[in-house]
Amino acid sequence: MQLTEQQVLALAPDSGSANNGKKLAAHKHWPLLGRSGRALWGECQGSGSKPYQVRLDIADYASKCSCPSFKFPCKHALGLLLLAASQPALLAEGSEPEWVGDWLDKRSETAAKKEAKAIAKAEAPVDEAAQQKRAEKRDNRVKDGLAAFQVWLEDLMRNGLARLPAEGPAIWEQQAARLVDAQAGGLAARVRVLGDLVGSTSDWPARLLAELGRLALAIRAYERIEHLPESLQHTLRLYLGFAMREDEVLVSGEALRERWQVIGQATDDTERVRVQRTWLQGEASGRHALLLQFAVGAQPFGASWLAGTAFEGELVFWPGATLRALLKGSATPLPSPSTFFHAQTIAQLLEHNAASLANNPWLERVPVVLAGAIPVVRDGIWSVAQADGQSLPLAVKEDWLWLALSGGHPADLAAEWDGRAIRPLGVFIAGAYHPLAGAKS
Amino acid sequence: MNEMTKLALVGTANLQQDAASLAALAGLLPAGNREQQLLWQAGARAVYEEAGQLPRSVSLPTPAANDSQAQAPAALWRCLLDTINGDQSELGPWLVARLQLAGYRAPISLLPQILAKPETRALWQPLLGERGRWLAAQNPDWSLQTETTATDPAARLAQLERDWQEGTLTQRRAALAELRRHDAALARDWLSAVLPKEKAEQRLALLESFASSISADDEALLEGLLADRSQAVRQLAANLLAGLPDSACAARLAARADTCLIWQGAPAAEGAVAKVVAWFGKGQSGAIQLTVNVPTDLPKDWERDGIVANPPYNTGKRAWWLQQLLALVPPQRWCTQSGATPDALLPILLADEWAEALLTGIAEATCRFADAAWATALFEQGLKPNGLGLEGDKSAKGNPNPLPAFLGRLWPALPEAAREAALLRLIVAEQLDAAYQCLFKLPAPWPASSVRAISRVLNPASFGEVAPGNLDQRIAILELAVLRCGDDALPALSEQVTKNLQGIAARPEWTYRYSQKRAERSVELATAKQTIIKEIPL
Repeated sequence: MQLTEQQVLALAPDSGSANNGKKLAAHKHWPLLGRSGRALWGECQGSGSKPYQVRLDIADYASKCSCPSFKFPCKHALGLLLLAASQPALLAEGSEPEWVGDWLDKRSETAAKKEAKAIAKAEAPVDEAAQQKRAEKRDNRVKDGLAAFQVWLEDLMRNGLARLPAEGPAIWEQQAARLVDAQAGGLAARVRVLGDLVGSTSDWPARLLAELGRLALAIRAYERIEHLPESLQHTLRLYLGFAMREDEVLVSGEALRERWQVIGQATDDTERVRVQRTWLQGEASGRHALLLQFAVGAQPFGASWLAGTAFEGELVFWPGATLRALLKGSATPLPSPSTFFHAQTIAQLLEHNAASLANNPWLERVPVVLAGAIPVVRDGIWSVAQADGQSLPLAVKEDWLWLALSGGHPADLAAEWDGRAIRPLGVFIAGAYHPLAGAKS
Repeated sequence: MNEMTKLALVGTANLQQDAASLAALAGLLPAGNREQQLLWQAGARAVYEEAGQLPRSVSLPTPAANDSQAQAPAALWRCLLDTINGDQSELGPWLVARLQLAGYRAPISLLPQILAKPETRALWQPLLGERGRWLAAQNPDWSLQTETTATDPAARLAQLERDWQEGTLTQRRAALAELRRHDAALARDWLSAVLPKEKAEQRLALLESFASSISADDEALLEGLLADRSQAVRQLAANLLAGLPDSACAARLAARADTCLIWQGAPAAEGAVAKVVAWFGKGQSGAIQLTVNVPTDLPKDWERDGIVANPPYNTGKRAWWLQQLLALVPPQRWCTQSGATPDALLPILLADEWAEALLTGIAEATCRFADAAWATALFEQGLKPNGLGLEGDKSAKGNPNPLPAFLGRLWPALPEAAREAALLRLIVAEQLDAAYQCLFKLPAPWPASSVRAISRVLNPASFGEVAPGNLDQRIAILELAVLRCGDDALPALSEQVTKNLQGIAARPEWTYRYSQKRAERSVELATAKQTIIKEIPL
């Protein structure tokens, strides 16, 4: 599968590695190069006496290099990828040397072992009673934490929101910390974000009130969770923050094997953790899926998904009205697509959003592919429009790259809709995918 | 702001009236106290409003026209981005010219970065294509310089006049310069009408815009300005007048210079005896004598004609006056007066007690009047190791040799044919600063012979022995060579620069690290240039 230089540089953990990788992408540094159906490899002459051995798995761009660097992918792997992108003729097809073959076999073995372990764990006789007791204890802790938070919310209502800008974000941090102690981490994350909302825009009181209202609804719903339909129960638990663990989902989640297209990727940087959302869409079913990854500080994400690529694989979904999914087994790469498959109008998006809200009132965002989207800027206000003149506001402050690429002509756009604005993720122009997620918001 | 938000802002404790709930939500919420009701209503209402959101209507922009030219090759985009960002911005003008020749336009994905900075916007303007111009039109901050829109001369004149009367100083200068190109007399009239009312800085700036196109007709205006209140304006007017060969001012200066420098040349050969003496070649050399008379007090009319009274630090008063006076008189005059060539006159000048002032003044004059013969002679003299020459006790006075400082400025005055050789001699003689100045003025692409010669002189072996301070000048010259040489000379030069870098990198002393960085940059530029040449063969 052919990668562009842009996509390779998107894999780099920081700009220093990217620059060093660029410097290494010259034939003279690589005395040995080769490729096979499932891997790329090469030997890079560094400053030491022995060259470094670099191996790269094509399916998920995982790399292993014998250099002592802590970064993944290291600059040698980046250089190898850049060389493969710019001068593919240099990497001749051949049989894998043993250091490459060994590594690949070990990887697939590890993946198979992980799956087997998950299945074994699920089938193992489980101590029902102990599990029950643990679940109950957790339930009580969460209920107490939520009750305390409810009291604080009511106090806030009683005294009024007007004093909040003067008090600063500390009170929100405090409440968030208490919720974390009560094992309601998801709710804690929402509360923490509210500290930034206060005083930020001119309509902050209305927005803050809406958010607080939704939190209160969730708390009330949890008090009577047994009476809710099963799907909503899962959704609520997800919202509050005790999602099912990955190995449980692998075994019990709804599975779908399809040809999936990676329509877009967005990374949110908060001070504690980086969250990467990778949106997929099934070619035949048109179903969306979300792959969530977390990383702390400068650590790389576990798996590298590149927007604009496609693969065939089996995804298992979390229960409840959520799009979050997990890859089961391995993915077979497919040739890069040249267009999105299921594009919608704005009216369809809003309909779909409303239907999703009916299933999950705490919905944060939905993915969408807008057909024939045109960016419009008027007096500094940006929006995305379709041919019939219907438009939605844009979440980013400006997106000149998208405007330049489109030239005022319609093009399909993959984006996220968060209930208020569109955040562009990527666009197909003349059969090539251009990521747009780097614009400032 | 609706009632609910108002209630929340103020607080339920302070406002007794509850907010009315939406009709659709009434009765759906469970019972609870006032605060709970407020929260639940707010939450439900938020979901309700989000679900019912409608799109807005907007008018679509006109799309961009299609471009006929192809975008620059994709393999070069990384290089282009480096050039636009400023990492390798020296390559910018050459790269733009090459892309233009090959018929490419700027890649679309780089257009936002190109248009964001004014310098790149101006540089890349011919390569923007339809898409680039359309994009620039979408952002009021990105204004492109449009060519003169009004082709009708009368309309253009009216526009210029408007700029002249109402514009900023820059606009007025531009308007004046443009009018000067079409109608010099009218421009002069405008300027003279305005001068009495303007402040000193404005007068100076406006006069400067005249400087490049002075002709004899402007003499009256400039004579008037010699009496200006501001010294800078007086200086500029005097300098401009001195440049006009037929002006009264030039004649006055020449007369004054004649009183200061009196040449007693060999008498013309008259009479048979003298002719015989001349046949025998006796008495010709050394027969020319120079007497220098500098007044002890500066006469008023000298000052009026632009001679500054107070000398700079470390120069004597009278030497300063002599120097300035000589700088305003064409050096050709001395040749005609004494009947000898500059080469013959030079030793006489050097032997005089006023040597430094004489040389400085005549060198300035040579640069100003672009006298080729004097330039050649002075250049030769400047290249000599102890340029003040033969009289050891004169140089023992401690006066530094003024000529090497002039080498860079004398070089453009040399005749075309001699320039290349002169340049190489500069480099060989270690006058690297002057060499750099001259090389800077040499337009690209440099002839292959020059490049070969330069690389021969600045070869890697010599790099090994040079002290760190002198290394930087050599690296700078080689970098300039890399930027400006022709396509064919580049591979060899690139190899040499790489070898130099290896030589420097091998030196462990910390003093070499800065030079190493500069050398690395030269290598990067050379590599980038080679990549570009490979992708865009012409």
